[in-house]
Amino acid sequence: MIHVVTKANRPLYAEQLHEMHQLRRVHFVEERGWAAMTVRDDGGEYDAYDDEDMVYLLALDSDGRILASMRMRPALSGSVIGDIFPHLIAADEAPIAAPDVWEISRFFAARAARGRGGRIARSEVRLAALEVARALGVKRLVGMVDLEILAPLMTDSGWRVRPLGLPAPYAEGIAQGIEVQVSRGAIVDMCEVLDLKPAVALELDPARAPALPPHQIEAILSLARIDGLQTRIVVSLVRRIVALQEDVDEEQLLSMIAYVETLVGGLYTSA
Amino acid sequence: MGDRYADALDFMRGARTLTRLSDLEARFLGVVSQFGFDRTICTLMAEPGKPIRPRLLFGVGDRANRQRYLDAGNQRIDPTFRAVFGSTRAFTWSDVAGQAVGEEARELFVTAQRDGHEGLVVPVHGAYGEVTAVVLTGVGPQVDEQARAVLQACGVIYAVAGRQLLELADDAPIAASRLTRRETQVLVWLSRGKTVPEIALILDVSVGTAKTHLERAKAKLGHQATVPTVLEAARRGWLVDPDEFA
Repeated sequence: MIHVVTKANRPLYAEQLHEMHQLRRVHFVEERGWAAMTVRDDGGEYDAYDDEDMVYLLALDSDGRILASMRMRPALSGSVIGDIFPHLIAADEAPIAAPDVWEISRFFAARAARGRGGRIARSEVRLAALEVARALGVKRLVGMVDLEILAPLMTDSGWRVRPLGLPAPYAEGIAQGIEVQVSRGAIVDMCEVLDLKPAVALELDPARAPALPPHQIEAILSLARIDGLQTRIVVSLVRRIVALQEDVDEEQLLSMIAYVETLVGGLYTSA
Repeated sequence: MGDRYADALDFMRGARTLTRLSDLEARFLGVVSQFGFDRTICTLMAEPGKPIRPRLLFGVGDRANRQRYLDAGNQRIDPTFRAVFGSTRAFTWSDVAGQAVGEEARELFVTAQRDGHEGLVVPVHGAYGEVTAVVLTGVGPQVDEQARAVLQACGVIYAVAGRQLLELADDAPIAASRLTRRETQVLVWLSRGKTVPEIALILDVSVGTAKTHLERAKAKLGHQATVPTVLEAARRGWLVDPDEFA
């Protein structure tokens, strides 16, 4: 599953977001040599778009460490491609500053999730982007990529990708603007082509989620999805969680169970 | 000046909707000829898990001659090959000529570049170690930075679209049903519990190609979903792998 980190639930992910910014420095600044990027005192890479509107998608391992990540935001309130690389969008394209367009950027995999071993984590991040976008009524995801990944993006990503314009050289490579189609059909096809189970996006509600690290909640949900005894498994697991936590009354317990059950049974819906 | 870039963008947008390889080759040639190139050969350089044995796939030019060049084992001495594996950017013969070691290797460039010929090589790296190369050649072509970037993008899309058309062309009708050989194979493997990516591996095609066969089978059998399609094929007695009893 992929954790959807919004303005509202960011407090649940303080640790993971810190690690994400560190890994962004490693991947983009150190490995890819994007020298113009800003590295803050804490060693993380940030830019002006890491604001309240930004949504982060995180694939976590069983210890809560980041496997792969991407970020997405409404293009209407600012986008890298629209503000800095507008020449990557052909003049006859529909404007991207529209409510149904979001921008994706900073897609990377940690070392442990590169190669075939990380295929699922990386694919699920891409699928989650479609699921989140669709739940929000977004029709198009746009972004800029290095031309070197255009071929695998078209053949192996599971996304319906098309070029937004001509490529242009930039300091560290050649930039290509792309658009990714968001639709029910695109999601169904992606799941079939990559053999993914749909509804990977998990947006925890900070007010209702059990007071556990997000990756442990994910572990419970993953277990519950494996077979048909969902309710029993969820109830017993949540009880066990709560037994470990003090100061939880019966009402809160029931509310948590109801919430986890909704998560288990439900398709992703925007909170 | 503006027109050839407009044509390049049209090609990038439309290439993957073409259904015939000859159309794709003609459209691509129409674009690159405006930059001074008249040959457009796409070569498969390496596939994951297989010995490196470059093989000509498609393209416009003297194919027989190109295949002879590949068969002659020139990859041992021609630095162009090493550059294809090591680079993600398009490069010219002139860029790598200086890396030629030995008389024999230098002679390759003298021959290739006679009368002002120049080559632009577009390496195309797949997701899992697959490498193809599109080699454009012509006399006195234009290869400034912007032209290279655009030709690289067009070359990548040419390689991607062409490979898919080649895979889809490796198919044939079956007398006993309305499905083709490949469509039948995809449905047979689905009925045995294989997933689309697994079937792609079994049939040695890309997932996109396996998916296209499945979509065509769905259309022929009148269903949008996979399971009813497999059931319908079974009901009609069409789930017989044509290769299995061959």
